[in-house]
Amino acid sequence: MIETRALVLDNLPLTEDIFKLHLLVPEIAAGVRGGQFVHLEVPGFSLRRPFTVADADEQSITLVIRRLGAGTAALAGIERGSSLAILGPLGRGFTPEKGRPLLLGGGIGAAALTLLARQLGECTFVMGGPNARELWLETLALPPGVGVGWATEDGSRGFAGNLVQYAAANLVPGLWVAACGPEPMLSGLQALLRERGLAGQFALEARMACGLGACNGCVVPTRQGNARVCRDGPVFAAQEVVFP
Amino acid sequence: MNRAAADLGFARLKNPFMPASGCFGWGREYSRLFALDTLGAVVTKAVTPEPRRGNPGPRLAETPAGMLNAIGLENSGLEGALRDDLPWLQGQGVPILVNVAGRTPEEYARVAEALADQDLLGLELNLSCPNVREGGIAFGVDPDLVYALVSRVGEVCPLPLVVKLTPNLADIVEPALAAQAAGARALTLINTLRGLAIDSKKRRPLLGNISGGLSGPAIKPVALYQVWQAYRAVSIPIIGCGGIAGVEDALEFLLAGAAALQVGSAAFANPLVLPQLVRGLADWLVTNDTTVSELVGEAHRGREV
Repeated sequence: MIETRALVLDNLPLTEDIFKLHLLVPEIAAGVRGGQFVHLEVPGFSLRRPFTVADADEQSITLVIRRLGAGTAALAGIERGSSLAILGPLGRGFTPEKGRPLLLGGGIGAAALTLLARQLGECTFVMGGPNARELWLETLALPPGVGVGWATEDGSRGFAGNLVQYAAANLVPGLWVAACGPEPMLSGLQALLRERGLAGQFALEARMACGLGACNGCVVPTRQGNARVCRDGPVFAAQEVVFP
Repeated sequence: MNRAAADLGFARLKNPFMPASGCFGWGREYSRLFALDTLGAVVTKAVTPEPRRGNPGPRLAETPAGMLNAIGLENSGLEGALRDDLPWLQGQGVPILVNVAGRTPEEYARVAEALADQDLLGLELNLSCPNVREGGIAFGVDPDLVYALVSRVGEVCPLPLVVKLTPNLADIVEPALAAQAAGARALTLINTLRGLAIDSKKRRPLLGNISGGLSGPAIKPVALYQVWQAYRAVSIPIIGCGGIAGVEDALEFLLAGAAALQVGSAAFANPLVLPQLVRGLADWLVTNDTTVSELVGEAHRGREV
């Protein structure tokens, strides 16, 4: 973990409200694991923003970001050549378990799984979204061993339905599931995994202040009591998380 | 000569900088980024007699020039602090102020008594948390309660007591005087200002606790004013806190009368802000051929205190 500065190599829109930041930051790129995140400065804002590292090579990292509030809107406009303070890599990433990996990414949640997919090399990766226009996964160059599938709520591409419905139809013995997405999706998946006796891990997102585990701003309830998303997570065993 | 030395009366720190309670945990996480003995002191997360789960989320909201937090004193309790956290921090070679909180004066006394024979710089009594229903702020706004609580803790604990007061009142002077009269050796001014954020999409308060404590650059003028006012009223040293993020901010607080300085949410924007302030102030003092002691309260000079 290191505090340093990242040079913005590129900033590309992927969909109407999703964009991709490519950052030169070798100190962080070298050691990052799938599911870990960085805490990134947003010029003019009091707090940093946590983003999972969506991809990495030896020199650079890629972040896939959804424009949600004023901070991410400011980042969407950041220009190539800018330099941003950055802390990372942070948190616990995925630790693959026995079984054929099935990655389920709902919307921007898929960004938490792409580096895992690269590091696994061989896996099935299904991205879900409301419609085909919101599916951006193809814009990242994933290894050939990653079989990509789609689930859209309007049926415009791939499986017709959301990822919980997809999982209900496709969770078979022998799978290990890694997932990230909106809370109702993860909560639905948790129930399915329990029913079918499958192991899985979820990456959670939270508002954060320190990003390091010091301020207790990002805690979520788990079976072991409160857990800090930034330090004890962001990746948790699927059955550990307590959804409201 | 150490130009940056900060005089708290009961102790001399190598520089005036310490983290504000709650923003720094027990320092473990930040010790991965810099050596804690760089700092004048470390102020710990609040310790209550029993473990507390804190408030439901969300606990954080960004605001213009600051943030709201509503953590709610989540901590592992006195036993956890004595077993897991304090021994670790005592090995870091930095003076320690343990922040103490409770629901009743007896709860403060219980924690203070259990810490009485520990090797500590002192205790910081948190009479000002805006995010818990009982205790905290309720004590800090009533001078009689401040007096009673600080006296009670003083009976069971010989360690120097620093009293952290709330800015959520009309006049800081009365509780400040009450703390001094009860034997406080220093004051910390200020804790966060109570505030609210609304999520307009959900049409509900954003924070799980409804209200939160405002910190950051937004509260600096309020903090400076209260330090200024208290400096004119009390004779014990004041630890200034509220929106300090750069050397210029630090100078302003020293000039207004703060003898030492706490840095809170600025560390979220820049995790290295504390060691950078230590270095930055040291350089400034050399360039300007002065010392921290010369600066403290300098802005009052020529005015009758």
